[in-house]
Amino acid sequence: MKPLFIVAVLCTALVLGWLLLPVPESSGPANVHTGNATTAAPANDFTLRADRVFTGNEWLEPGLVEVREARISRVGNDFEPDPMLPLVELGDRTLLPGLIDAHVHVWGSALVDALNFGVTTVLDQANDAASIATLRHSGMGAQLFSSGPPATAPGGHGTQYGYTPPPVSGPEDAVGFARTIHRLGSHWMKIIIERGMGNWQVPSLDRDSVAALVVAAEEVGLMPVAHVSELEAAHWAMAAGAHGLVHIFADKPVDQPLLELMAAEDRFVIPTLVVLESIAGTAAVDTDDDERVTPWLSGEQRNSLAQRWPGPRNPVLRQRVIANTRAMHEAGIAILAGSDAPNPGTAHGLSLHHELAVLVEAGLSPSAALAAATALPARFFGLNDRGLLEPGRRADLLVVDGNPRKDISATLAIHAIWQGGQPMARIQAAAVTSAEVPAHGRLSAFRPDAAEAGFGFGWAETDDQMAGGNSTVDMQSEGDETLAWIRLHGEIRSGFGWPWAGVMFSPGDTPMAPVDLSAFGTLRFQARGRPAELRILAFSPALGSMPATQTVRIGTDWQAFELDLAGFAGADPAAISGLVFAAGPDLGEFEFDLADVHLD
Amino acid sequence: MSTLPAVAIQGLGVHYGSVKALDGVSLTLEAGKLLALLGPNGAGKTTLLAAMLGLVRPNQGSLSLFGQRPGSLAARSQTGVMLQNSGVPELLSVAELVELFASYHLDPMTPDQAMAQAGIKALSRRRFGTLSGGQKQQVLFALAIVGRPRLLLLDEPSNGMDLHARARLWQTVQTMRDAGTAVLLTTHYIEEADRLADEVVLLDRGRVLACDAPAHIRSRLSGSEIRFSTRLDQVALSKLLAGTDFELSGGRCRLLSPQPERLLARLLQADPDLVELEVRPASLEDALSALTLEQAA
Amino acid sequence: MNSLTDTLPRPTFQASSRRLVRALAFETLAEWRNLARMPAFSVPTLLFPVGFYSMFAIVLPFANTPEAAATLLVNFTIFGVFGPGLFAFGVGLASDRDQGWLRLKQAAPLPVMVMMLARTLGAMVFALAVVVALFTVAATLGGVRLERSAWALLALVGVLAVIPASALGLAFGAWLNARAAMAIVNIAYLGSAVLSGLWFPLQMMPASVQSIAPAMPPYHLAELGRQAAGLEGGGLVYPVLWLVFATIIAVAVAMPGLRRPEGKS
Repeated sequence: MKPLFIVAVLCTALVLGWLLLPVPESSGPANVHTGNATTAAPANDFTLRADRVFTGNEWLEPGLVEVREARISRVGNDFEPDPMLPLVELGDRTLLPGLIDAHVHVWGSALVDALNFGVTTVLDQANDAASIATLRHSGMGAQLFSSGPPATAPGGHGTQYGYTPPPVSGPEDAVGFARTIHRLGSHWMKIIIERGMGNWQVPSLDRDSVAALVVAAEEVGLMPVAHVSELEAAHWAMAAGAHGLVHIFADKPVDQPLLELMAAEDRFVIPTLVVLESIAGTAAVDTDDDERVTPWLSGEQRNSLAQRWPGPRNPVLRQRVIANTRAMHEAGIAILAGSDAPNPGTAHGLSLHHELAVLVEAGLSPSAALAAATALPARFFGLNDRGLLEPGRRADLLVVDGNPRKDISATLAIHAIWQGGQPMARIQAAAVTSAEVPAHGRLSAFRPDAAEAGFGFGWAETDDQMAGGNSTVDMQSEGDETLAWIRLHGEIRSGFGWPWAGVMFSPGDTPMAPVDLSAFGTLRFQARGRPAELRILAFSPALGSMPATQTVRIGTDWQAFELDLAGFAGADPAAISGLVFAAGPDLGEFEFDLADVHLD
Repeated sequence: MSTLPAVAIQGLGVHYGSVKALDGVSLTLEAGKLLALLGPNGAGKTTLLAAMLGLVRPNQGSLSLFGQRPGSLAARSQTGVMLQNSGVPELLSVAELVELFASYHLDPMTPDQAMAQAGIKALSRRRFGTLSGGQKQQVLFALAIVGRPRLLLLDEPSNGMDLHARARLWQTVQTMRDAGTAVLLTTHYIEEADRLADEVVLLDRGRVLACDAPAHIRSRLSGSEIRFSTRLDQVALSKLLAGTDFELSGGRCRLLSPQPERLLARLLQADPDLVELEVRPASLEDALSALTLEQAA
Repeated sequence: MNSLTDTLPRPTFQASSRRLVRALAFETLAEWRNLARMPAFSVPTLLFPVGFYSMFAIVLPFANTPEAAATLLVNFTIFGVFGPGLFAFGVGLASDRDQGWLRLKQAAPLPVMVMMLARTLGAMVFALAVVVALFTVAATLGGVRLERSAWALLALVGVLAVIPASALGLAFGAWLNARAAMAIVNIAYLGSAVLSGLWFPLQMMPASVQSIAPAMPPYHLAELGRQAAGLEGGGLVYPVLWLVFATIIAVAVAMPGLRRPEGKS
């Protein structure tokens, strides 16, 4: 009996231990009130009271939201706030769930930029699996979910972004594709049906492949969604059983059968009106001088916002996409808000607010527009831990001044952001350092044994390995007491879209810190080397991560060059964060010498 | 039931490639008998035991334990085994090991009984790894007997045991024989075999050289061992000692003879200067080595 | 001497299920005791998963979302429970054979299946201990929050994972000697864990590793674990079938090794 007794005791202990394991819902007030009064509630536990609370479904005016252990624990308009918790009075403000942008493509500072505008979750619609994994593990900014690589025809739309999605040549590849992206960690499957338009023609998946992909996606447990730009493609996708469209189409007005099918089957559409009106060259919302916006834009946001699509204005396109969205909304089809940032004319975070405004123009009520950026994307993409203010969900919260129920643009007046119960301090655009720039303007103070700089952080090798490329470079100091120079030697190798390697001068005290060089007008230097083009790149926060470029041609003999600083298009001379002298993008070995670099 | 012998082996052959580890071995072991399996290293004793345990498949001949196929559960459940070099999990205690083996059997002794029989009760809480070589043998013996086997296979059981433990072992074996257990024993201590065995089987290079009661084997060569130093050469001795198997090296001669008196008379006649003469009765070991040599010749 | 005088006559062997259950219980107990008392086994199999989990999930900031925290727990649970079965069979069986213990067991009236089952159960008890240790750390320091059913299902997956791990270990242990087994099983253990993405997310690995991963049993166990923890869907059929198939293959590979004649002498 003794062994049986021991086994019984162990089993009981296991069951008891199991019952003690923590579960997602914060387990009610009982747990918190143990302990004495001095054990103050953790900083992340608090109660918010605002004149207006939008839960994702309904308005509470006024409303209270209680947060414990990163989750919402109580929501209502009449409960007694727990005296143990700090009570934050928000007054004449509006409390919303953190916004969800249902259509973005993330890289660079996208996640931080999105969170900076109250977008606590982004849904990436096609990207490289490795980049997604890295960004998800960064833990920075908005939370990221992604389709991973899209299903597209070989050479089709989606293959032009520097990574190769697993190919889908026909229906027979569908199952393999689905398993592959499932293994790569995709959260759903994006199927691209796109023949292009005008001068831009690309191969597209055929109808059978689309149908096979939808079945394969369901089989591995991924939700199939479709990129379409034409009514016929939308019909294919919906008939095959895709759960939603990630763009509204613009070629034709939506027809009744599609409306009926989508409404009956509870399908959704992410119209991405902001990017479509940017393509049409007819963006209606302009916040370029909006004080609620400009201080918070990063370089990348300014950069993508400033870019323009090629082609003439096309007001008909804009009217049609808005009309199609309106028709779908009126048919009772779920509309989800997505910006397709960072395509030209859009910016992460900011453009979702623009999208809300355009959705209201397309006939959605402000409440419906807000639900399109909160409750609906959460519901359709299976993010059951967010999107609504209700007990058990993540405390992703946005507080804005004013009343977006009356004026949707009030969402831009951001007062506070919480992500998972953590308050998020908004980030102001990088301030230009007032680093002392000597009047002599000499960037180089090369010695035969050292690449000394006249000021700033100075000279350092740079290559595309930091961007995932394979190019190499080696810097050596050469010369004698009378003339000293640096020699850059290396090889440009393929691996990154725009390969480079060379040397970078950072004028600030730290690499890439912007410095005001507007006192100067000309960059002068001497160079020689293996005859080739030498590119001079100027980095500036105004440009984001893409530098402005000027090119010179060097030969085997020393030659003096001078470049107008104003010739670096788009770079702000009052905020230059780096100058790069680089070989590439032609592949192969390179060698060049650089001496006497200075500004006049 | 009781009509079936504990072990019945007929024409058994086991080949490892071209090497014949066993070649036409036949023997029978009845209930209550003790059979001693003797022979030099490499004679095939271990292979024969392995075949009886079903660990080695015979290439020819038949082998059964109580009429059952060796290695079958039915055969194994009636057999207690003590093997040479059995590594036992060193971290288990003696009592745990005996208890474990008792659990394999339908009608075992209590672990206490088995440990008492093997004389290791005092060691019951010790971990196997901490025991001396002789004590380990005693534990293995306890594992062999705990299931009240009808056949005991003991491979060099007394190796490393002190005299007291050895006496205890043979006493227990004797008691079990009295109760009808058949015992098959291999040992290097030939005097043990001489004293205990009903039958001795001498194995060499896979063949049975002799199979008889120890007394009979001894009596085949009943006589004496004679050693002396002589001036006589090989030829002279061959004539003189015709019919015996003598060894001569460096003027020193050794032989076995059933009638030493006559032989000695002839020898002393032929070589009056014969010195260092020793005469003593032949042992079982002598008998066995004589048999082995005879075979080799 | 009474115990000796009544040895005859008595019934011949009969398949008594009661005896088998008793033998299984003692055999399992002995397996567990032997494993638990062997520091070379118990320390790494218990401390490695807990240590690595603590490093990745608590010391390093990889568990930055509830999903990431839960995924890390799943990964290191699979890592932790894959060891006991693999080592109990892979190294344990090989050294039992080398020492002669296996031979003595084979001569004892114990069906081989009971022996294998007991070893598997012993490893399962150990796996359960690993699960308890990991869950304790995850719940207290790791901030992991799962549904009550998810905790239980993950523990279940952890315990059942011992079966394919044992089969794989059996294949190693049947063919290798103890010293080779120690080295090769360790390499297989750590290698398959890394290649299955248990330590670092597969998406961060080279494409070659990503394509090898589905050939590793822990990869499929981790998939089941994530489903148990409610982290993803995808269905049980494919990974379960894969694991059953792999188990059968491993046992088939092991069988001739177990039956092969022992060395001469």
